[in-house]
Amino acid sequence: MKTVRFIFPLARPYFWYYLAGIILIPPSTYCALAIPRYTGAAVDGLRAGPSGSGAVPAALIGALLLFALGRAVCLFGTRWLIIGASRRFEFDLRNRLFDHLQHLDRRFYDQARTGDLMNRSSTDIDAVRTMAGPCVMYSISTLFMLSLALPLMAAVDGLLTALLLVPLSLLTAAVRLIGPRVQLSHRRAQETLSALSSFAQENFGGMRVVKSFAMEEREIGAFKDLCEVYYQRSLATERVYNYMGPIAGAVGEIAAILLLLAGGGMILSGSFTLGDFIKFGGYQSLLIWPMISIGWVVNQVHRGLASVARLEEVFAARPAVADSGGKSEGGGLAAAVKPEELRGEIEFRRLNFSFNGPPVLQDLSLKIPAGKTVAILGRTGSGKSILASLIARLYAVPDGTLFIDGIDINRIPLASLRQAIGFVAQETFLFSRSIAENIAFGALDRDPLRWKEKASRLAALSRLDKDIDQFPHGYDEIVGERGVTLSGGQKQRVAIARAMMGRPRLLILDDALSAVDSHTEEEILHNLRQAKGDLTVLVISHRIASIKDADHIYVLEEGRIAEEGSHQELARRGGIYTEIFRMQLLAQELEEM
Amino acid sequence: MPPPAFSPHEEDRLAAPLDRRLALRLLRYGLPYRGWMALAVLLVLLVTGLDLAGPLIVKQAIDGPLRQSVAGASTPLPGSGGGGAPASSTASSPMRQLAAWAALYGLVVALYVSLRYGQGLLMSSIGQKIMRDLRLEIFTHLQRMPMSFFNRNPVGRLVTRVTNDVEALNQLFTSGVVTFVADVVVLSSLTLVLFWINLRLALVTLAVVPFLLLATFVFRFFARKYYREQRGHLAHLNAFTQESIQGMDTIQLFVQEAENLRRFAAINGSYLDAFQKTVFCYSVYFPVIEILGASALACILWQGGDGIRAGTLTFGEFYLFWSFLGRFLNPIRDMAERYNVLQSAMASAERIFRVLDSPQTIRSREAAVRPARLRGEVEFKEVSFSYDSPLPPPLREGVDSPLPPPLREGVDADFAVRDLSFRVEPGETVAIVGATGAGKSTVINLLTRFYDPQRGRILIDGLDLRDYHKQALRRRIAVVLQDPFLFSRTVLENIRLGNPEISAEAAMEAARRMQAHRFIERLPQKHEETLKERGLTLSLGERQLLSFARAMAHRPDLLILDEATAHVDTETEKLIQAALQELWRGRTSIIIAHRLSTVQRANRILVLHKGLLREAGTHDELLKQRGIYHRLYQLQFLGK
Repeated sequence: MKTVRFIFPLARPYFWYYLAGIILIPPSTYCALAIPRYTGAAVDGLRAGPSGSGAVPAALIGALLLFALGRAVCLFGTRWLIIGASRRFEFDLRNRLFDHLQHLDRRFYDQARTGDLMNRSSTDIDAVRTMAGPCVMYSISTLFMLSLALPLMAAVDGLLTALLLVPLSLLTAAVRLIGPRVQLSHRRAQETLSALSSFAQENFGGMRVVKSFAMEEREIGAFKDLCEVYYQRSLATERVYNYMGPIAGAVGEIAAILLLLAGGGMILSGSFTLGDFIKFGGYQSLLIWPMISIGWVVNQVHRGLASVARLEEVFAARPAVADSGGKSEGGGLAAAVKPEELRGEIEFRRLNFSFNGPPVLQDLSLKIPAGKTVAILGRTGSGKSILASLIARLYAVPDGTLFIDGIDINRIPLASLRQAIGFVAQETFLFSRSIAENIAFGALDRDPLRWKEKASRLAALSRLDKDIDQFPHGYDEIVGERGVTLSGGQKQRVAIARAMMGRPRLLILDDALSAVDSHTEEEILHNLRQAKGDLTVLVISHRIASIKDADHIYVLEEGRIAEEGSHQELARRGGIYTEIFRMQLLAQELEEM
Repeated sequence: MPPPAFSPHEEDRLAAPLDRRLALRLLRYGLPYRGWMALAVLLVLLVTGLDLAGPLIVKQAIDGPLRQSVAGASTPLPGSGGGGAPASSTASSPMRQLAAWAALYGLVVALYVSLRYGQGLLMSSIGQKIMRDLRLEIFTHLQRMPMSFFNRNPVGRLVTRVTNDVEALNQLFTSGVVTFVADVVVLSSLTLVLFWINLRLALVTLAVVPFLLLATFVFRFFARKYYREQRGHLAHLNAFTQESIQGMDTIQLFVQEAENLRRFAAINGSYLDAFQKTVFCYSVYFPVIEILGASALACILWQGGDGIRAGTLTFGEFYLFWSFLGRFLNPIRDMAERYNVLQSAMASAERIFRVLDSPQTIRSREAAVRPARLRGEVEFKEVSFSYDSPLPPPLREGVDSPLPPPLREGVDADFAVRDLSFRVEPGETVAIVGATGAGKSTVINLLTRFYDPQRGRILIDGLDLRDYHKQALRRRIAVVLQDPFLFSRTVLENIRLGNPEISAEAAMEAARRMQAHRFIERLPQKHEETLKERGLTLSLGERQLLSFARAMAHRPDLLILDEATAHVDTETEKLIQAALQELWRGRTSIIIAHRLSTVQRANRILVLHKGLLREAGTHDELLKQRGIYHRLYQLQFLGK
């Protein structure tokens, strides 16, 4: 029933397609059955009469051709309408799943595996579509074929009909029995293939160890064993799978033998004619595919149901981050907040944050005044990146702990909040599009005409312009999957230009220049300062050089604020900051030796 | 007889030419099984013959025992009572004859079913055997590729060669060649039988075949075109989905959900369009076949009816024509299909052969030295090496012949190490220190012959590294890497690494001496516990102890160790220190040091800086110099 609830609303827009396709099935079946009937009649007519042309009346041949035409038209209509509708159904389902995925939050993606989600959005959708298309078409066609053919056959001879049904129903049973067995066996073979694949992957990945310990020959031996097991299992699958063809062939032949023996006997006794014989043979061959398809449909429905369950799981996931509105302090969404009206003042009030485990941020209170540049310094694992992602609400923020311009962050519409923020994450993710499109990523939907010009202005700001001039296609250069064709520093500079594109009110640089040399970093920071106007900037780094000019610096240690002040104050204090500063000077000194 | 239905379309020839060289090379893999393949062809011929026998038997029955009843009592038949049966015994004898024909039919079917099953299985098993051989050959070839090859080629791509690309060949072997022969045989024998029985009727009936061929090839042409279009859109759709899932943060941060959905829907829409075209092709093709079949039937009725009346055609022959009609369709459809299979298989074959043809660069010479033991004396003589050099040095003919320097002179920045000279005495423990990029790992890479230097020589026990048999030399050396690589096999297997010379007891003894037995004992299956991928269920400290045990169990004469930089808890740190001392005792050890205790205990410290050896001496001597080591000491060792 759950499945019906899932599929029905999706199929509903195509109700008329389905209905029209189904209405065509009975006439289609009728026409198909008419052909053996007319052939039989023609043969019977040949038993007596004068020789010469026109032994079979032209009217009869004409009628037969007309029925064939009718059958053809109906077949076309049924397939085109029903299968076509199922493709549209698939189109809708795909879009809905994608839309849903886009609204799930980071917590979901922290746990989900990409491969698994990909499987659900390809294989599972495919299985559901098969259920909504071919399964519907074949099961209804079979239903009509059986209910129309059997009375016709029984009218000729009831006993013979009953006799022929035996091998035919065996066919259905065989498909039902063999289909799942092939799948099971195939799955076992696939498991071995995936073991084989993991073995190879590990071997290639651990090649240094393999070579260091001269394991090559032994690895080849172990791989050979796996290949042998896979060979055996594949063969086991083939052993079952290969039954299908011969059995389907044999059932047709057995029916033919029965017809020959029983039908032939009745011909001898005079109760049957050759016309009846051919008529029966024709009906028989029309029944073979429907009998196979019953088994096939049942197997497909089994798979489809499992896929529906897997898709429902994804659809059931709800994001914790959404425009639901804060429950405290007045509640409800502050719908009036426009991104350009935000000033960018940030305040953390005694915020605690954890991932179902030890606290990541503890009792954190800090304030970033609008228009100022504030820095957070901390070692790896101090919680500084989480702090940044909370400001963009990538994770759910507890009510009453984080305020932008004095408004609880949960009351600001998510889109407005994020449009007001320019976020440069620690790891740059670029899309496999052109550089210009990557820079203008956040504005692609807004001003489609002017973004190219704007992109080049921002590239200059992030010192990317000279690099781009050297690309063969300039701004139209495609950056490759995840931006592989760019260096780490180039990627980071694209990300900075991208963040500035949307005219943010608040810029967050999370270790954003780690792969850029210190001279270029200096230049970019200078350019940002020049261009910034009343922009609020939050710089997160473990490098003192990147943050020493900030108006205020917080030092984060194990999720708490350990020190704060200006660079001059902190450098003299003799605490963590002083220590980190001393080490970094030393490293710099060493680099110059 | 030339394959009638195999003329490729011009467009296909441009898209993926049928490479004869590739095909021949693939065929060579079938050579070991040529006897079985010949049997498969023989079986195909038999099966085809048996398949056609059924309608022929029914024809014989209709024209034999049933003849009189079929024709109707009113028609006088010439030569009645065929088959030598006397006219008087008509009541029982035709029935008996009928039963005999049915029994023969039954026999034919039984034979047909078993032979067809056997033939299918035989062909599958030949295909699977060839795939198994090919898979093993690729893997074996890859085992002998140099380390630099693995740095260049992503693991995923190599795995694809071994798995998916080989799988793509499956259909070529199982349903490609042999079935193609079968299709040709079926079509030609059908045609021959019909012509033999009645030339005139055959000509009229088979007039439909050219139309059938035409319809099928027009259909195939468009179906293939749209199918390709559809595959292209699907690949695009999947790539887009995957990229979106991986970059979801970015999409959400830039509020691009709506725009992204619009793009997704556009690609999805193109996919739908291509699909609807395919659906349309199928929706048209099946009905057209239906009409063509009915036309042929009409021809049989029209001409055959006249033939029966005129006495030139028997009812049995008429039946045969009717019955063979349906058997023309499948072979014609299959032959068109076969071409597609061939194309995709060729693309995979090409990728596979490209891997098999990639040369193995560092090879051991036949006369190479296979040391039973090493004294453990190591010497670097003015060694320079650059990773950017286009080609590794070619094989050396003799020990003293000069090495060709393929390095570009004057490009100093490329050197990972430059003019590096140092000597390690047997039994000595030497620590190498330096900042990131100083060239420390390069020393390990050269010493283990993952790379050969472009200039200078590396000697072990006075003999050039290149004169040793590579694997034999590596068996005497143990390398412990910074991030220990563990296999997803049992703990014991991770220590022994399949080495038959290490007994389970020896492996556990090594584990005990390396302080690893404590955590091993705590595992549910103890040393038989299978580790997760890369050993990620163990802590870093545990993984290190396990990799120490691995090195210990192999009893190396030379230990090369890259100390881990990451923090471990104090308890584990103590265990590691104790294990380390045990490990390097009594054998030459070269250690890239990151810990104060290690440098303090080393006999000598080499300080590398930007690829050059800048300082050397003991800890105390070097500290007094107040040079590079002094700063490194403050930076690297004091903080920990």
